Amino acid sequence: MSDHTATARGADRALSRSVASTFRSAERRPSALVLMLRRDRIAAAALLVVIVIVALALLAPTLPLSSPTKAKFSDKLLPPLSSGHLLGTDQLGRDMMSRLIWGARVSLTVGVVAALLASTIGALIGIVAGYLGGRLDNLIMRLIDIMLAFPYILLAIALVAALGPGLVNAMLAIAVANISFYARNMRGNVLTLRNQAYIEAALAAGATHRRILARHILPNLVPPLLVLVSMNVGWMITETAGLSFLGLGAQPPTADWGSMLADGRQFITVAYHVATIPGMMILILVLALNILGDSLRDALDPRLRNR
Amino acid sequence: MTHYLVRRLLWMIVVVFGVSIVVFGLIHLTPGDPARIMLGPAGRPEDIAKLRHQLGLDRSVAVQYVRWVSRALRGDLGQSIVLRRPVLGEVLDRFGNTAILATASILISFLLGIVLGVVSAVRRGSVVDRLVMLAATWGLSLPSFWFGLMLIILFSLRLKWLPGTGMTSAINGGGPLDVGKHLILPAVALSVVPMAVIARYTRSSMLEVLSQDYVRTARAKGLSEQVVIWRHVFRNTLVAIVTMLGLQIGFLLAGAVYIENVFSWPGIGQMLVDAILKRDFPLVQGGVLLVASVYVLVNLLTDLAYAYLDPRIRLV
Repeated sequence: MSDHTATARGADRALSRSVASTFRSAERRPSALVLMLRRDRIAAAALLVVIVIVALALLAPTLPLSSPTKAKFSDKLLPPLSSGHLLGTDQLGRDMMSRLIWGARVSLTVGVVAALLASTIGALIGIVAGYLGGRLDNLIMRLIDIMLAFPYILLAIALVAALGPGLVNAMLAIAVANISFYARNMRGNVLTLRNQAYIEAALAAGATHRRILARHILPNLVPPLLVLVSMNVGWMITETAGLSFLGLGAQPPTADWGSMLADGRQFITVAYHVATIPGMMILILVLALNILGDSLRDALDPRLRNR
Repeated sequence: MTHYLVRRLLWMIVVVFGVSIVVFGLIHLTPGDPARIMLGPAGRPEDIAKLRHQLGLDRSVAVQYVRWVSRALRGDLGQSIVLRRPVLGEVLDRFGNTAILATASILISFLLGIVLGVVSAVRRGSVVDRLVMLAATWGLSLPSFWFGLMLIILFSLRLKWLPGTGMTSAINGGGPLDVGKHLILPAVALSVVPMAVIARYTRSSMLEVLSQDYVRTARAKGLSEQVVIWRHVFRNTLVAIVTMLGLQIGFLLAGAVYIENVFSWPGIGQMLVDAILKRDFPLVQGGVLLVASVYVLVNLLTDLAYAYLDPRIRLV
């Protein structure tokens, strides 16, 4: 009997060792990523763009910028390349460059926080549904189906309608609208993992559910979750900017790229740079994030290459 | 097939029921008294009480829900607070305009998206393939509201080719020609993202079909490349593309919110944003309920089309 348990323990240990070694290879992936970036010049350039934008946003208070909120009417709507204002000024004579960099802080924070919220909650729901299965899974997936019955941004808009316009509410709304995306994907991943022979072996060897989840399931969920987030965060930034553009997100004096774009709209006949530049920044950032997401997916999940 | 049909229909009813609970629940998510918020700080207490009664807010939540649903089933979605007209009429009028815009965008994005996807799959690795995929990545990242604005600046303000705004109503406007002129720019702006999605998706499903054994067999038995591509590969790719249709229509209905705002297109998206900013809850509820219901119906039709095209689905 004791012999038997010892064998079972030994098997479990051997198993976890083999899984640990795959996990370690997952830990070694940064070097694989570096290789990927060296091979994939476009992805490297995209990473550089993201790093520069994030660094500028983080360093905004220490940079020698004029105040993003100080109005100077004598300088209003100056075109780009004016002296002292590289990107020109807006309708109140505020420096566009300074406003863009401060606006990046808002747009980035909102997008990233929304992505973290949605992915954490969505992944938890997906893991619970996928691992426990049965009636609970059924109920959860039916509720997710109802959430998916709202065309994407409409659910966010409906939520903003209820909570009232504002930056935090817009961020929450975008996060909630994306939960179903993560929940469904993570559930699918858990289901595939659950049916693997090594999970069955671990169960047979007497491993507890807690152990299986912690050692065999969760580590294997990290790469697909990373891919999902990297492919989704660009969208989140566009959509929160979109809500701000509609007047449902950031309210003055707070400005993100979406609300700056909306401000510039009234002046497109006389000074179109005020509307053009913030949108161009959204495009550059989101494009860089999407390229990174694509190559991250290719690196972590070669089966999906060329899709 | 009948069994599948019945099951899908029943499930659709459950989903619409769930949607109605969410839409109804919205008003109760609002912090504070909806009636007070709707009437604003200038609202007199007696008016607030009257509106509370009119909205049924003085009853229990369950009673309110049953009343709201049974009225909605009879086509009564209440009165718009701001417009002072029945919600249903307003929502339907607006939806007609959105449908025109969405239909034009479906045609543009699917036709061009499929062609581009097929071309880049067939010439995989070529310059054309790379260009198309590069353009698709750009398209996916384009904020449609900004792109719309750029189209207005270029084609409407600079070149003066097409009107950027000024569409009033498809029904009472200046006839089909006038609507068409107003339609081009918003339809293009709305099509870019779905077109990129469809091109990428078509390419990847096509590549998957191309790697199948039967394609090799078809080539081995000496069929011309034209026949292999169009009769054997493209047809099977089409089945996969149909599943995208439902998803993309949902995306277009939602994306229309931005585009209608940019081009002042009098559709349901613009109505929703106005209604939210003016705190016109009955109008928001009616609009969201209608769009979500249409989307559920479209998805049902897509599923049925898919089941019709691919017999394996019916048996699951």
